[in-house]
Order: sequence, then C-alpha cells, then structure tokens
Amino acid sequence: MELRQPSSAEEAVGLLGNGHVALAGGTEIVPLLRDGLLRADALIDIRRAVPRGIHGTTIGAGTTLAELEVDPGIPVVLREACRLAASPQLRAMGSIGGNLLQATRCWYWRLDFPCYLHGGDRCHAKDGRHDEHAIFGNDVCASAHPSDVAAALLALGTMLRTTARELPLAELYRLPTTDDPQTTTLADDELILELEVPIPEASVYLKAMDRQRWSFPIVGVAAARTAGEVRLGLAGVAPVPWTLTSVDDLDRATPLPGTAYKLPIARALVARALRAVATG
Amino acid sequence: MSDPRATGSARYAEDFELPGMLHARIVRSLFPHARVVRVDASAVPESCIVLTPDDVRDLSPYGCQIEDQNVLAERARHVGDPVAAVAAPTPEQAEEAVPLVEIDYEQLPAVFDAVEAAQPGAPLLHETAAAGGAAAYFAMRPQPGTNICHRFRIRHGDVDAGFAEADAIVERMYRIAGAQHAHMEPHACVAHWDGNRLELWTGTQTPFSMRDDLATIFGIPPEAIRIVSLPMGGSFGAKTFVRTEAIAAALARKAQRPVKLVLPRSEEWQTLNRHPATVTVKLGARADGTLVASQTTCYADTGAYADCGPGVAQKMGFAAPGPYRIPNVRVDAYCVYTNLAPNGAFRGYGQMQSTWARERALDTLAEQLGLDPVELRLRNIVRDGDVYCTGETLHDVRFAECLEAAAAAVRWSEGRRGKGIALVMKGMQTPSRAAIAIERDGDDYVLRCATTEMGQGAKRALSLEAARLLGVDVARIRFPDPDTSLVPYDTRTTSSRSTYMMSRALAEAVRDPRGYGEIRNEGGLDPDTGQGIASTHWHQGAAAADVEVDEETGKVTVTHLHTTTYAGRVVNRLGAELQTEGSMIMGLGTALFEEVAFEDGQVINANLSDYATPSFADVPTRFTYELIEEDGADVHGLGETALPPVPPAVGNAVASLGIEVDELPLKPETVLAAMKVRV
Ligand SMILES: Cc1cc2nc3c(=O)[nH]c(=O)nc-3n(C[C@H](O)[C@H](O)[C@H](O)COP(=O)(O)OP(=O)(O)OC[C@H]3O[C@@H](n4cnc5c(N)ncnc54)[C@H](O)[C@@H]3O)c2cc1C
Ligand code: SF4
Repeated sequence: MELRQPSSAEEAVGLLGNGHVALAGGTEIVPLLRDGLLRADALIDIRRAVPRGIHGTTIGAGTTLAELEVDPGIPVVLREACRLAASPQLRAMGSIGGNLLQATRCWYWRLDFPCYLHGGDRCHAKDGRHDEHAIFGNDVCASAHPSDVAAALLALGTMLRTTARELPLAELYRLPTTDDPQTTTLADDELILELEVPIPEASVYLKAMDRQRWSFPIVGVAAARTAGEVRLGLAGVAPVPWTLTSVDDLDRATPLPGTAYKLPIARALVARALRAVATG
Repeated sequence: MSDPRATGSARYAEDFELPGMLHARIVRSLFPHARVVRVDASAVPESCIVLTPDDVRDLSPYGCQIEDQNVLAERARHVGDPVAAVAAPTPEQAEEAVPLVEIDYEQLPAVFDAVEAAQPGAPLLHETAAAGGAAAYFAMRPQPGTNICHRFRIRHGDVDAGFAEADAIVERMYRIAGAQHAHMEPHACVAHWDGNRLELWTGTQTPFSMRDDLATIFGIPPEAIRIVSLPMGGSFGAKTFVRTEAIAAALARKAQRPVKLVLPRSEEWQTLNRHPATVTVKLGARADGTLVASQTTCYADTGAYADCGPGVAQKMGFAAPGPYRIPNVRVDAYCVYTNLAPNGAFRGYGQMQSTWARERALDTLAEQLGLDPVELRLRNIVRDGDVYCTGETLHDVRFAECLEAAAAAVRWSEGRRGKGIALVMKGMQTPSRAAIAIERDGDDYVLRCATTEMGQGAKRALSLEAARLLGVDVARIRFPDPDTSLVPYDTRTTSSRSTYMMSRALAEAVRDPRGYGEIRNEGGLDPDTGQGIASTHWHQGAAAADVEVDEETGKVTVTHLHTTTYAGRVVNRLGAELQTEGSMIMGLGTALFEEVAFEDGQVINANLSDYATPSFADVPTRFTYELIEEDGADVHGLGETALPPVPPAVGNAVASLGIEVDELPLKPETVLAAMKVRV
C-alpha cells in the first residue's frame, strides 16, 4: 500500500477519493485496515495538510486529544471528554478530527457480520446481544456512537470548517438508512480543517463506563451553558452523537431489551450535568 | 543486577527462531458445531504448506484428562475450532493464505449453556471419549449419553437430616462469567523434527505433561520428544497442556522444516478461557448461627473439549463447602461440554466460582439470622486438627486469624455499611511429584528442574532458596530454562505448588551427596464420595472490601481492598507481595467488569478494548494486604490465594447496601437489575 504525504490541504484533497484514504494519528484507521474492515489503495497522511494547535477559540483538526486535555483555554467539558477518552498512548496520537470520524464499536460490525452498516439487510445486534448499543435513533442500525469528544463539541455548539464548507457539528452526522449506511456527510475528498468552539459560561462532562479509564462510554453526557442557555450532547446512546433539546427528550427514548439499563443512567447523568452548569 | 525483563533484554517464546523456519496460522471453524465436508486448498500458493484433516488422520486424539480432541477437527465443535493450518515463509504470507483455504460445512445443532447441555436430549458433543492423558490423576466419571464428562460428589453426613434441624435455610443460584487470561505474550512455539525426534520450544507451564501428550498424539516414546519451556510473558493457566504445539509439530512434520506458531490476540479467546459456571448453594443453620448442612451443585462449562475441566470441576466441588465446620455436606459438581471455546486452567482454578457462590450465600444467611457476617463465619470456622468433609485432618490452620485481620483492616467494628468480607480455602495439586538436580559448574551451581517462569518469579524464589541452603551468593546460582531432556520429572508449574514443592525437593538435593532431591505428595479423592485427601496443603486467605455504589448509575467503586493471606515461611518477600497485588487486581477484574461475551457461540468481545481488564486507575486508593508469616513453618504458595476471595468480598459489600447480587461481573447493568428486586 502506498503512503503519500501532501504538504497542503489543496494537494491532499486532490489525492483523496477513489480508494485513497486520509490518515491522521492512525489510531482508528490502522486497526480497521489490519482487520480488513476498510480497504485502501493508498493512505494520504494529512498531518502536514491539516492545521494543528489551539488559537483562541479555533482548534486545528490535527490537534491531539492529549494537547486539548491540558490546555487551560479549552472549556472544561471538552478537556474532560478528552481526558476520559481512550488511553494516554492513544490520546497522544489521536487527533480531534479523527475522533469525530471514528467508526462504530458495534462488535458485529467489527467482526464483519453482513449487517446494514456493511451494506447488508439486517441488524445483527438487535437480534443478538446488544448491551452496549443505542437507546435513540435505533430504527435501522442500533449502534452507539463512541465519541466523548463529539458529545462535548455538540454541547458547545461547535462549527466545523472543512475544505468544502462550514457547518454546525450536528450536520456532520446522519442516521444510517436501509439504503445508505453512511453515518457522516463528509465527502471522500473532503477534510475537516478547523473547529470553532465557543467559550461557555459553565460546562461539564460526565461519563459512565465499565472501568475508571480506557473504556468507551456506556453513556456520556456533556452540558454547556452559553448565553444563559444550556445545551446537552450525549455519547454512547445513538448511532451518531446525540443532541437532547430538552430533558423531556429522554421520555422519547426507544431502548432495546438489552439497552434499557442505559436510560436511568442517562437520566441521572443529565440531571447531574444540569445541576452542575446551573451555577458557577 | 538489572532484571532482563525490565531492560527489555529478556527473550520469550515469541522471540525464539530457528534457521529456515516457516510461520504458521490456523484456519478455524466459523460455526459452533459443524461437520467439515470438504477442505479445498487449491487456491493457496505453492510456497505454503497446508495441513488438512487428511494429513493428521494417523495421529491419535489427545486431551490432558479426556482424550477427546483431534489435532484438526473433522467435526468442529466451537467457533474457532482448528480445521486446517498453513505454514509460509513469512507471517504475512501465512495470514494471507488463511482465507484461501475453502471449507464446506454441514451445520449441526449446538448448545451454549452448561445447565442446558447437561440435560437429557441436549445436542451431544462427544459420543465417545476415553479418559486418559497426562493429567488424568483421578478417576473420571463421565455420564454416558449426556454432555457430562465428569461428575464429582462429596457425601458427608446426612444433609436432609441437617436441613431438617435448621432454623434458617438459604438457597440461591449464582453465576460467574467466563474470563480470558489476557497474558501479555500470546501462545508461541517453534516445532522441529530431527528424524523421528521432535523438539519443541514453547512457553508452557507443563513441559512434562506436554511431552507425554505429544508422545500419545504422534505415537512415539516420550524420550523421543524434547520440550524446552521458554520464559513466558504471562500465562495465568493459559499455557498449560497441548495448545498450539500439536498443530505446529504436525505442520513441521509435513513441511520437513521448523515451524513457528504465534497466536494473534483475537485467537486467544478461541483457545482457552475460564469456565463460566452456575453454582447453586443451599445452607442451613441453627438460630445461633451454627451451620448444620451445606449442599452445592456446580455446573462448570468446559466448552467443546474437556481439557482439564474435570479437574477444575472437582476442585470447584471440593472447595465449595469452604473453611467451616459443617456436619452434613453434599456436593455435586458437573463438568459439561458445550459448543463454546474450551475452558481450562485459570488462576484460582475452580475456586473462583465456588468461593463466589458460598461466600455470597453465607452473607445472605447471616442477614436472615440477624448475625454479623464475620461473627457467623467465626462461629463455624475450622481450627487446627479439624476434619474436613473429605475426611482429611487440617493442619497449620489460620483462617480465623486471616478473617479477623481482614475485618480489622476495613474497620469492620466501626460499621458494616458498604463493607464485605470473604474467605478462601484453596487446594493444591494432589498427588504430585517434584524433583531437582544440582550440578556444579566451576564456582557456579546449576539448578536442573522443570519449574517454569511465567513472570511469577519462580526462578528468583528458588535461586534465593538455593543460595540460602548452599550458603553461597545468589549470583552463583544459575537456572537454565527447563528442558525435558536435561531435567528430572516434575508434575507441573501450576496450583501455586512450585515454591512449596520444589523448595522442599531442593532442600533434599542440597543434603544428597549426588545433588538430587525428590518430593511427592500423595492423596486424591474418591469421585463418588469425595473422601480421601483433597490437598496436602491448603492455601488460606481472606479479603475485605469497602465500596460505594452510585445507586442511580449502578456504578460500583471499590474504595478499599484488603487481603490477608497465610504465607508460612516467606522465601522472597518482594515476589510474595507482587503475587498478592497481582491476584487482587485480577480479582477486581472478575468482580467488576471482565466477561467473555458470546453470541451464538462466537466470542464478540475478543479484543483488549472491548474485553476490559483492570487498568491501574481501577486499583482502589486504599489497596492493602498483609502476609501472615511464621518462621520455621512450611512455605505456602501465594500465586493465587488473594484472588478468589476478592469478588465475593466486593459482592458482599454491595449486598450490605441491600443490593443482592448473584451474578458476576458487577457491571452497572447487573447492579441496576439487582436494585429493582431490592426489598
Ligand atoms: C482502544 C481505543 C479506545 C478508544 N476510546 C475512546 C473513548 O473512550 N472515547 C472517545 O471519544 N474516543 C475513543 N477512541 C477513539 C480515539 O480517540 C480515536 O481513535 C482518535 O481520536 C482518532 O484520531 P486519529 O488521528 O488517530 O484518526 P485516524 O485513525 O488517523 O483516522 C480516523 C478516521 O478519520 C479520518 N480523518 C482523520 N482526520 C481527518 C480530517 N482532518 N478530515 C477528514 N478525515 C479525517 C480518517 O480518514 C479515518 O477515517 C478510542 C480508540 C481506540 C483505538
Ligand atoms: S447495530 Fe448497526 S453496526 Fe451493529 S449490527 Fe446493527 S446495523 Fe450493524
């Protein structure tokens, strides 16, 4: 397999598509390639093409989670989401852009079962064991998006700048349908360049997980108060990072038999998060 | 002296190479139960050697306690059962060849739960299989026409009469999930034939059992086989008996070249896990807390092949009653085949499962009687000279001391909320044999024995002991990797027996003018009555835990974990402490989140991010332990003692908050479910 190292975003965009796939820290894409879940003819190393670093409220998509978790200028919710994600080694390599685009951890998908997301015609998780799966948006695919970071960015009302457009983070994602398994709206030759992250008055990230560290979220709840208004972003509850417009949204959850336990956890964390950002 | 493991200069089985060797990969069944109809390797490049069932038809079936496994399966009995194998000049070429081997299957009905599989009418895995193998040290009791490959019983007193006298009775069913050893270094070996002699370099805890079983498989005398046990990067019971070695040797035989086989991480879950078990405990006591009867039924799920499951089930059974005086005891333990990957030896060997069940049941009984759980235990605890339900007399008994020390460590007397305590009584391999020869080489002493090194520090402990006995500096002791062609016979490096047994053989050798020492421990149990000598030496310990439960999210946080174990005479203080810490951390994994998850017989979390072993952040802020030492006493094995009591100590602590948990691990979902039925 070929490795290309373009030095600008334009050059990178010219190389992408047609089996040429972007590589940032590689923590996600390398295991996918190794396990045969992703095929690529060439890897386009974008680390010189995509900005890295923090400038005021602008974060380069190539910035690592390790850099974000220690920067005092970064809102608490995002710092915490980074700090509680993955392991120190992974955070030292993994970029925030790559984190937003990580694939599902659904074990059927990872074992290459021919499910909807692999272009098949059923969801194996719903018929089988699915305790790590979704309680929202699980009509077709029931996977649970694992990004803590995306939940935090949703709560903050983040805007993305890509090589093609500017968009609110929520518009990066789409729920997969039976005829289109895509979970993002990013084009094959589109790169995320920067994130514009407003500074909130107060924010918090709460994560329920199996072990104290290095676990994907069972449920992650991000809350941020900006201009007096609180926004909530959830991880681990739907095939894409999930926005709660109000606490009442929790009454509209559609838990599966195996994921019903996530709902009380989500309720508890949402209530705590709201209390935490109500003051201070 | 810098430790080669710390400097990175240590060489493990995975590092071993021979000139001209090929690299192997295993082609595994995709189905839990299926007849292999056709194996077509015509698409595999010429440069690869392919081993198919046709190539191994002349080889005998094997198994360390029941000979029920073929080198390659013509009838696959679990997802991942080896059906073919390939060897190629590079590991990458071998990996690429695997999907090129086409296999047609005819699926058969499968069963995935041991209790279901034990019922009449369940799909049968093995119609016939003979007891035998290098570790069949007790009589097997297969139940013909069922999936039960061994049944062990204890019959002591009259349990019905006992329960009739009881003022309080509890009866509950407990479950414990399968676990993966998650040793750092995967299974790795290199096989080489020199004419009709087989040489094998492998990471194994059981070089002599391996040699004897390979002799059966290949129909050659044991002396024609040389096993060198290389240092292992962890094992915890996984690297025991024949795992990948027969396939590597059969490939090497066909290729006429050395063959190296290293398992990819995900295949570890298809090779060996810990027995999931369902254990039902019924206990009866008088109002004052005196235990009058105990009845236990264990179903140990041994997966597709027995491996040492009969031994695991037997130990699960004979340790089930625990260190308590109980006049009437009945135990029925079943080792049951299912279409899951094989389950075998795992640190804590059978005791993990029955200790969880019994110690939880005791707390429920205490609650029912309105007695303090420590008080209930002390009232019934075995003391020196007591006779166990197997008929053997117990010596050097320290359970009460362990229990009291553990209770004090968590300030039991200052309030019991959120606190739990548990005891373990763990047997050691009986009967067994250990021997060692000491050779002089200039100023150095060379220890020739089969004790293997898997990171547990056996070499260090025995070297220190040799230096002490010989009165020389430890730098003059050399301890080469065990080589069955050079060292005397030893049973196995298992069941925390090596420091105890081998150090006694060593003392003999130091006294012997030829420098040879041998020790045997005799005993064994009648499988129908459970009478005899279960263990010549019992490991004794207690754990205490202090926990917090987030009642809204079901999250259990252990704030303090403590163990007290009886150590006897300590040979290597640092090693003893590290073994204890490792056991406790491993116990937390089983208590809180480790579970091999299956769907239709396939392991679905076969990777180290979905299958969670404890991280250092999971070690409680208060993490304490103590070793009760006794100068001049026997050396007591410490490799496992602090492990089995940890999950029930944590479970009992959770239960003290009114959350009756019966199932491990205590994930949020389990805890939330248990809270729903809270009284
Ligand atoms: C074991 C493990 C545990 C983890 N635990 C957590 C967790 O608890 N919480 C959590 O939130 N995350 C977790 N992660 C995810 C981790 O944070 C991501 O793997 C990491 O951030 C990805 O970044 P990367 O730079 O390595 O991406 P890569 O692996 O290089 O790329 C990932 C994907 O993004 C694409 N890509 C990368 N950058 C861009 C860009 N700028 N524009 C367009 N496309 C791009 C790549 O083409 C690829 O498809 C875990 C990952 C692992 C492997
Ligand atoms: S949850 Fe989604 S990814 Fe998982 S099996 Fe169902 S469709 Fe596939």
